[in-house]
Amino acid sequence: MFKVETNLKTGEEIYKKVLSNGLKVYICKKPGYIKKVGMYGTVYGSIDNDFIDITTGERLKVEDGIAHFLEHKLFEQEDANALDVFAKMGVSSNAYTSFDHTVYFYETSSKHKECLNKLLEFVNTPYFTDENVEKEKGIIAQELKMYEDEPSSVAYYNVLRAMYKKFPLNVDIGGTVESVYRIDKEALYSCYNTFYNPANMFVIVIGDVDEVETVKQIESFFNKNVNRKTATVERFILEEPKEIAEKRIEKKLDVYMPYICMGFKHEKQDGKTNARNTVIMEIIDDVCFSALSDFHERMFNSKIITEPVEITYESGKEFSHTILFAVSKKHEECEKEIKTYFEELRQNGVDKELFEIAKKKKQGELIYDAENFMEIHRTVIDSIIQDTDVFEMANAIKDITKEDVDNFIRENLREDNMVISKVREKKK
Amino acid sequence: MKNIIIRNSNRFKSVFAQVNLLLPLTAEDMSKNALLAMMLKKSNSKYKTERELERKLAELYNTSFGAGVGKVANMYDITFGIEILNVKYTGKEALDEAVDILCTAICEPNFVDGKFDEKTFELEKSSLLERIAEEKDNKKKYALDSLEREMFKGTDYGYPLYGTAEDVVKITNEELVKHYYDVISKAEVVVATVGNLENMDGLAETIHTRICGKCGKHTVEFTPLVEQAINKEIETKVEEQDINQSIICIGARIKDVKTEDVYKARLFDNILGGTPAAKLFQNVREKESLAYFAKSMYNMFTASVCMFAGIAPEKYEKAKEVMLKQLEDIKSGKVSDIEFNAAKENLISAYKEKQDSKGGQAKGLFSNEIYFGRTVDFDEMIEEISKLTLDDVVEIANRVVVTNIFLLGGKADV
Repeated sequence: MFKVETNLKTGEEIYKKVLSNGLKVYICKKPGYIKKVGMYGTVYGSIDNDFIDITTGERLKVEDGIAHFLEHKLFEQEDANALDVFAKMGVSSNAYTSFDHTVYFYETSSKHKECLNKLLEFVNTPYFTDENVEKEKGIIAQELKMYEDEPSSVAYYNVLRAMYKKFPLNVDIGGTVESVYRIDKEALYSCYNTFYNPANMFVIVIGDVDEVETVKQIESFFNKNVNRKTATVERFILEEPKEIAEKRIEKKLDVYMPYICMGFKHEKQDGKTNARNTVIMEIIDDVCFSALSDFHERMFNSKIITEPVEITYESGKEFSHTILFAVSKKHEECEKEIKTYFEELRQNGVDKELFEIAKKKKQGELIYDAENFMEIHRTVIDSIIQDTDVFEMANAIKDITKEDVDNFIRENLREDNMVISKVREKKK
Repeated sequence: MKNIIIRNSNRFKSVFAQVNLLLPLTAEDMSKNALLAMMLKKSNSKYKTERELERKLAELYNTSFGAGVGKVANMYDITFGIEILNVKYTGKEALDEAVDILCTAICEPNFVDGKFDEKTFELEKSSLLERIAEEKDNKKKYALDSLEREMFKGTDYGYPLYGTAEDVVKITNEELVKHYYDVISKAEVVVATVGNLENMDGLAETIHTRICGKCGKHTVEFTPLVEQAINKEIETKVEEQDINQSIICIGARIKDVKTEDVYKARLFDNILGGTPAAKLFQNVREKESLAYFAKSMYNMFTASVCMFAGIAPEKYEKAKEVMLKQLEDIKSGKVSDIEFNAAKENLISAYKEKQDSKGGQAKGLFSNEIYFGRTVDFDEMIEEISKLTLDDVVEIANRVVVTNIFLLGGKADV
């Protein structure tokens, strides 16, 4: 086990160990905190729909939404539901699925060791039957319906559809109601056996814990209880063309406020570059669009927006893109102003003084992040998926220059790689 | 009730300072209060534009500043909050500047010839109008707010938090200035500082003294529970929207409620719909597959509970039946040991874990000062919850009366 070193003066203490079965374990110490969080995850998400089944050795293509379905079903054990088991202990538990990973977690103030064992146990004990699979479909269908009514969710998924022709980012993480109803237990087992193998998984423990004892507990669990095939997963990734899929997607919903997403499609990058680009984009967000910026003041004073436009960089091992979010009743004018603004930024770069203020702001953010109990898990998971240092992003902050930011805008936020997704009001 | 709340812990690296201005709740002042909070947040005598203010905050190592409003039974609460790093990271000068921003925002508005800056005033008015119009886009919140309005129809509490668009349009600059002076002449000021206060002694007192120097010290007469007759028949309202998922909200009031009932009520609420082991989750979602979310929420200031779920429109009658049955089951004592213990443990854990959150502590302790009229710490709450039995839960459940149903979406046969 080793301590992840950092020259940041934020007081973060993180320990890492890779077990003999390939499982990556991270302990993020938070002295003095009452809460302890245990997370057990897999590098498997909605985009992993084409792979070699570890049991059969055959290539298998599965239905959209199966990673998310699996996440729902893993809580169900033969004699109990893990959610219930935790709840009966007074412990909250939950899980989520994203494009490229799935995480199961609990939060507790007092029963951490017991909970950690339970978490490892239930995720390692799949129990899928025709009956319990069928029952879940109605619940997931309602979850999907809920998101279909949320303008931000609809605009976001459509901007991904507009950018990606083939890569499965162009499908909702949960799939569709139709694809969900086609999922069966055999497919769930195939996905589980392949992706939920220790070499593809990780454990993160956050709280006032002893790192040596915690690692021993995890090692002991796996030595006694888990004897599954462990191997590197072979995934098939469709080659995504450089060009966007379509320039514009618009959808009408029963809402008052139109929602705009602007996407910029980039080529896939290595982890280090993605980490650096993430920080560059956070600076762009502060300098160019937040309430710090002249742009925001101008747009607000013209009554085009009431809330700041936001921009963010998203990436994984196989993709990267930038997405801008805006809400405006005057959505056509808003879109036009933003496009003109990007043209100006490409030509003139960002304001030097604001850039320096943004860097100072980021230094403060690092300390707040170190205090934020859950922030560290996002950073750790990113480093696992992209194979980078845990503090890659934080360390990048001091080296980034105004020229880096200007170059990024010029090279990556262009007209030709840009798409628009809008949710507009249905006129009654 | 204490007007200064201080909690120090070196587990944190920063401090959250909260200032509450408590006022009598009146329907006619809702919009003015909301607009005032927005004005004071964005502009003051030293930082006249949002841009200037945000740049200053960014320079102070990402200090954040915000303002909001809320209803607390018969009181209206305008809250200002600032989050600053401990002085060991920033130095004393930065702390002094951050505190100055907070106090200046409340005490020294950006007045030009005795009025708010006209352009800022017009812009914030437009923003507030948009905020009101946009409420219906957040379906779950809109449904819950609509239920509350139905339950407390005809009272000041039942009036929308930001007022109505008609109210906002009528507000003039002069009227808002007059309202500002009205607010500071009668608001009760409460200050809470929670976080790492090492070498930051006297922070809460400094803020309190400075604000009271402008406002004076007042007490707002607080009635902990909304006094309103409970209707005999369940009233159902449907608002049709063109959405994929309907949201059903069932509201209930607790009869003859006393201050100390709050612990029983919270435990009852947790058994009903507070956790995945709770009756609503287990029955509405897991057994019947009717919903993705099915929960309940208790409001101690109004002694009301609401159950809510997101359902397929055609499942309204079935969902209503299953949800109401959960309440009936608790009334008749059909609560297993597992359900009871899970809810109790969860509540106790939640109070323990609140101490890991600066904002959570500030809000919780402030609410307790108002509700109980004295300091009630989380340890005391844990002790009270620990003593409760199933009999306590059944007793309070039998005082729960369903009064209203609100359905957002459609397919109710009403």
